[in-house]
Amino acid sequence: MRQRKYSIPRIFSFITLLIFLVIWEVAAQLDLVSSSFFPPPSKIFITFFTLLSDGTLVLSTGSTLFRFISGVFVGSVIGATLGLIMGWWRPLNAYLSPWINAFYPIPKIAIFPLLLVIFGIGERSKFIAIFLGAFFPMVITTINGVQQISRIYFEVGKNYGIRGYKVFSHILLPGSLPSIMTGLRLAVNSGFVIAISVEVISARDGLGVLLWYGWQTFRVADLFAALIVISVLGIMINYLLEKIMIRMIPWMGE
Amino acid sequence: MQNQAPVFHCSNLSKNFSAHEKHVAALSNLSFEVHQGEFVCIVGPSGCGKSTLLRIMAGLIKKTSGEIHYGHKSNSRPQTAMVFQSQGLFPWFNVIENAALGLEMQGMDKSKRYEIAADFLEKIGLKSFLYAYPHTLSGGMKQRVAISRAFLADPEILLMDEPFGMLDAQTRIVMQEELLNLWQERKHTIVYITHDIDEAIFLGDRILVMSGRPGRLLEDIPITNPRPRERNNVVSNAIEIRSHIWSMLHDEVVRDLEKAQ
Repeated sequence: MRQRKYSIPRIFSFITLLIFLVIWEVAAQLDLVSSSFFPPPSKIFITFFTLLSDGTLVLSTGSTLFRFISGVFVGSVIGATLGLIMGWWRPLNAYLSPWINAFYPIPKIAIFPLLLVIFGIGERSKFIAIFLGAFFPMVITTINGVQQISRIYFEVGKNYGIRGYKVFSHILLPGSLPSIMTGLRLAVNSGFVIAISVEVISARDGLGVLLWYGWQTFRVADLFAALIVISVLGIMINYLLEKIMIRMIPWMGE
Repeated sequence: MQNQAPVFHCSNLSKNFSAHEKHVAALSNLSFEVHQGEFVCIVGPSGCGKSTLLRIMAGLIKKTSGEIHYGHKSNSRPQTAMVFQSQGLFPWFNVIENAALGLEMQGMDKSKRYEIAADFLEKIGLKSFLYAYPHTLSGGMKQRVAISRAFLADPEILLMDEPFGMLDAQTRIVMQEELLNLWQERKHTIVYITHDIDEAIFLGDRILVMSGRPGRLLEDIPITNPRPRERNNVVSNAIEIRSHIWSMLHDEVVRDLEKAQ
């Protein structure tokens, strides 16, 4: 029952993708669309496999993933930790939240030139940009998560003798975990966008660089090959997040 | 039984809430005792401060004035354990983790407390739900878990704040019977809040009738119906007690309604 329910739409979406590629191929071959802007899928796939076999794609993906994961990981951990403390401890929240709320809406890419000035064109400025992109959504959703924990759980805790660090492990952390997971999703997506963007602006390696070279040398097929990798990565990352969420908050149901 | 020192007593207990420089008296000069093993029901019109009283007894909020005393203080048993009206279970803990919460906080190791909790849960029909999360349970099952958690904490006094108020009528009847069975087996002291007079007569040894806000004690009525009680045994004075309480509450409710206008 279950399999059937899922396999029908999947086949349909696969078919539409196939039809789209066929139309594109034919249109490009017949020069109905400019093949210099939209090279036929067959050419893109050949380029893709060439770049794959000479290691370019693997290396680029590797450095992008490394930047992305390290920045998002550190940003999320620090963001969630600070968010938990701020949500719990009101004075700190009063001191810090105006700053956080002021910085949060600034697109992190907009301050990347400033980061370049301060931290140089090496890895540090990129790390900071991705870090900030992950940190802000994480800290804000975590604060909200803590503050939304129903008062009744704290009363239950008090009545049943939950004290000290157990307030944290039994109420605060699990109670805000659904929000932290939402924050993680925002952090990951924002971090991914920023990772690619900072590579386009200034980097030696990475998928963003591949995109940039594709544009500069007008090798449009390279551009498309990089885009395929980026979108597949995006899909995989979100799939993985979904799995992590189900694992981390089994009590949330469907 | 009545000769022992009471497990709880309060005298001239009052509670005021202040908000926006307005003082609202919630409880006024309450004095009563609760004895070991007693099942005490408290009825009163809504907003009369019943829940406030229970929350003071549970140590969740502070009294404004008056005295409260708990009988024997033992270090191993908590003074109170509360069953909340609803939403009292931790949604992030499964049934057995919730039920064993009190034992965990008393420092019992995991295998021991799971064994004890599983035993208890099995007895009240939750055997196949030990590892289910609360959101998958019906309202009645959730309250069973909440009651298990309170009994397992083994407090001096069990406090129940309209625990079956959110359940449908039939489930409520079954749960009342289950609660009486547990109480008779375990000899706990219970203070039980309800606005349902019939429920109070069916369950209680005594009924404390409270007035509308600010809550005062109107009357302390003993229910002498023999136990074990069965619902179909209509006992001689039950109807009298019922109409007596209702006439008191009726006046209070009318007075509250007129005040509100």
